[in-house]
Amino acid sequence: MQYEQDKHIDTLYDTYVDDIFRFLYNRLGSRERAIDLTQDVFVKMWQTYLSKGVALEYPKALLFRIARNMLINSYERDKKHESLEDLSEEGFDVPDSTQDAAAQARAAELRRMLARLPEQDAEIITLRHLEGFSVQELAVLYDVSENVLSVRLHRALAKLEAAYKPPTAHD
Amino acid sequence: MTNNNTQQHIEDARTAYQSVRLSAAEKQDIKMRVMQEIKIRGNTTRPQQVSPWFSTVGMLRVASVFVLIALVVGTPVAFAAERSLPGDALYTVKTDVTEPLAAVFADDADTYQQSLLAKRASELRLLTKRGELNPERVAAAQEVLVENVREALARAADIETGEGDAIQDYQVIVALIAENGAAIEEEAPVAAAFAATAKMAPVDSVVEVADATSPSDEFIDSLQGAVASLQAEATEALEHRLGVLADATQDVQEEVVEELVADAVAAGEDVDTLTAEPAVDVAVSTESADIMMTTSLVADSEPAATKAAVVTQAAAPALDAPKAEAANDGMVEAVLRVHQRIAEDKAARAVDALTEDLEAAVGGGAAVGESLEL
Repeated sequence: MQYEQDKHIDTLYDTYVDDIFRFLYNRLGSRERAIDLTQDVFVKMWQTYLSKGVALEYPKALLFRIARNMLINSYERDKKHESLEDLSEEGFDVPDSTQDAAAQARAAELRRMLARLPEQDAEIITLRHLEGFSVQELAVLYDVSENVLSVRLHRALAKLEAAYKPPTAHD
Repeated sequence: MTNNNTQQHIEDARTAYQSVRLSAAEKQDIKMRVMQEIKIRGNTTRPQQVSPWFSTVGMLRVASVFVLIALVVGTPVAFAAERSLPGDALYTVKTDVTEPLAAVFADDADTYQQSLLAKRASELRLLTKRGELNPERVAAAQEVLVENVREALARAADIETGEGDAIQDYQVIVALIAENGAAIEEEAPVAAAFAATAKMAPVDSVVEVADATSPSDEFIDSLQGAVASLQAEATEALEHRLGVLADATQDVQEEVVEELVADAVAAGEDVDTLTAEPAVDVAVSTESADIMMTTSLVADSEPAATKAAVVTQAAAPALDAPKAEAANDGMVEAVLRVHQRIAEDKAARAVDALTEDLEAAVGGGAAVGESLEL
């Protein structure tokens, strides 16, 4: 039993560790802190579900749910910590050396636009379009129906489109 | 939905986003730390699985506690009590004598107290697996659980963050009971009431514990989330039961209607052979349509009841879930009774009118027949 649990966490770790780290790093902007929280996420996953033999249909969604909760707690514990918006406005970005300058600029632009959206809208777009979550997995993560999730995603994308549009004279 | 410009930005951002990775050394390092921490926690927070009974560190301590317990209640009793489950005769020995004593001598009383919640979950899981969970056993587990939760929360070091192990263990227990309730409900409609009780009982505990411990706002939020989830499950179960009730009622109504229509058709045929009067057909079909409409009222009651449930839920604060559920049940029953009464009255009136029409038609047909004979 113990061996199976260890094997399970081992498999989950190998499959999702990069995804979880990327998600946390994207939000925290600190590699060290993201690494620490990544460790905590997998320990919590084992402690909450695997050690109790709970069957997991969507382990990725549960891992991200734990990661989100830890981020929230982390923000609350450290009030001085910069928010995602602060980081983005200051130019925090994830550089990719394989991209050309124009592509890097477009990527940076998208991050700035996302930072203008409400945090949940930015998060849902990030998870769906950058992280590659399915609608079903997102519905599990947010604990809503797939229809509700689709509507939220649709609205978030509409806000993103609006953010790209230059302000009119009325604005 | 996105235009080409935005789509291009998203694709570029995805490439940049996906390029973030851990190095092989970092991955190995984190994995090693995760496995170490799991091992440590496995030896300290899960005594029902690994320690204190079998951990090397805790063996002597546990042995001494067991000797003490054996002195108090007797060795065979102590052994048997430790294996007992909620509802067993020796379960109270386990929960009232051996566990409190073990808590006193535990290395870390706080952790031990939290571990009892996982132990309760294991017991419920075992009973569920054996198919032995029944209302008496749930009640026995519930009684102990409330005490364990209260004690664990009072001791939990991270209670202020609202995400202590105690709460997570508790949520597992709630989920187990809810799942078990759903299974029972599917197997036997008679057990639906028990299933509802099993689902709502943990809410009672949550409220009781919340009242007793004066917890932080974050903790309350966490509990409210659990309660809202339970409310949704309970509402779903309620709607399911309503559907079953509406279907059953409709079946009965349809049987009655079929009999009435069959009688009416039989009578109409007789009348037709005598008179061939079209008015009789009209009367029969009109009254039959009225009767048919009454059956649809039963079906109408379901959305009405659902609306009532939604209104009740919206009005009730999250921690008043048991009250909301009770109000829910009351409103649903009231709506059903009203619609049932309307259906019955309307059916009775329709049958009376139909009978009168048929009698009149038969009388008229007879008169026509007599006149033809003349």
